[in-house]
This record gives sequence, C-alpha cells and structure tokens, in this order.
Amino acid sequence: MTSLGPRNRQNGGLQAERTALAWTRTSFAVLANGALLILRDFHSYAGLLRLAAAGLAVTVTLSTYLIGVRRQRTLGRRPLPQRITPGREVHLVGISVLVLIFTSALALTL
Amino acid sequence: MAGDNDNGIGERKPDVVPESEPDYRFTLANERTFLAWQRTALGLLAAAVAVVQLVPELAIPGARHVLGVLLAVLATLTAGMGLRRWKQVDRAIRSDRPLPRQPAPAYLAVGLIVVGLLTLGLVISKAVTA
Repeated sequence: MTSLGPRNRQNGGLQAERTALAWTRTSFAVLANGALLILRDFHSYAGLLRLAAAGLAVTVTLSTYLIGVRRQRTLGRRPLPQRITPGREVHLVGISVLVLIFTSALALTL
Repeated sequence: MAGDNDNGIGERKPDVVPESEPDYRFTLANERTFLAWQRTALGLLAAAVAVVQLVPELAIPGARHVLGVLLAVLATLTAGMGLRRWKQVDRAIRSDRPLPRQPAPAYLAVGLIVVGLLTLGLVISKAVTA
C-alpha cells in the first residue's frame, strides 16, 4: 500500500475530476426533468406551460454542463488559481433549480 | 475625512473573524455536496412530475396531486437547503470555524417517510377497491 506521493498530494488526486463530473451529472438530472415534462401531449394551455418549463430545463442543463466544462479547465490549471470558490455558479444553479421547480409545479397544477 | 472615520469604525468591530482562502479540497467538497443536494431536489421534482404525468388516477381522486404537491414542496426545501448550506459551510471554512450543525437530512428523511407511507396507503386502497 503506497500513500500519495508529493506530486499527487499537490494536485489532489482526482478531486478536480470528481467535481467536474458532479456538475455534469447534475446537468443530466435537469435534462431528465425536462424530458418528463414533455412526455404527454402539450396542445392545451397547461401543456404550453409544461413545454416552457421543459425549455427552461434545457437552458439550465446547458448552462450547468458548460459550468462543468469551465470548472474542469479552471481546476486543471497548475498552479491552481488563488481563488476557486464558485460562488456565482452555485447561486446561478441553485436559483435556476428553484425556478424550475416552481415552473414545473405551476404547469402541473394548472 | 468621512472615509477615515468609516474605516475606524470598521476596524473596531469585535466579531469580525479574519477570512482566508481555504484549502481547495474543502472548497471542492463543499461544491460537490451542494450539487448532491441539487440532484436530490431534482430527483424529488422528477418524482413529482412523474406522479402527476404518468400515474393513472388512484382510488382516491386527486390523491395523485396531493402526492405531487408534497414532493414538489420537498424538492423546493431541499434545493433551498442545499444553497443555504453551501453558504454556511463556505463561511465556516473561510474563517476556520467548525462546520454548522446539519438537521436537514433528518427533515428530508421524515418527508420521504411521509411520502412513502402515503403511497403505500394509496396502493393498498387501490388494491382493496379494485
């Protein structure tokens, strides 16, 4: 059993990779929700709202995925940038998910 | 002159803990935990959408919608909690304080138990009436 050598300890092993994959996985979870919304026909008024919610889901999926790609690039840089806290990204995705939940709930209760 | 005065007041604040850039592994772990919360919320939302969109009418009319609303509320709380939690932890690791207590998983578990029992009740009532 060997422990991490200094080189690997310095670049944190697979931390960056796991983090980027977590963003990607999250984007797929959003996409799945969008797909569920358009499973039934959308010719009624409520159906149009569901379609709009699905469109929102696709937008959120794309932005989350792109954040993941950017994150991978940022975290792959050596030396690591001084400030890597993703405050803006976290707020963007957190609020988008909340808006998506509200829109979906509205579309389904109408 | 007014600026000098403001600075003086700012420096005298006793409860300001000096913040510093934390070990990047803490930042990344916090980020992944936030994303796990969001995925949990999205899973609950998917369940809410599926129960309304796909499940046929249950024995009690409208029960589907009650279940869907319950799941959507749970999804909202989970997503909001994830965001709040990320902020709390970010502040804690910046000022090198211990992580704040976390009661949210317990609430989520209680919510899921309620949803589970409700579903079980509906399935049984459907089987009985059929």
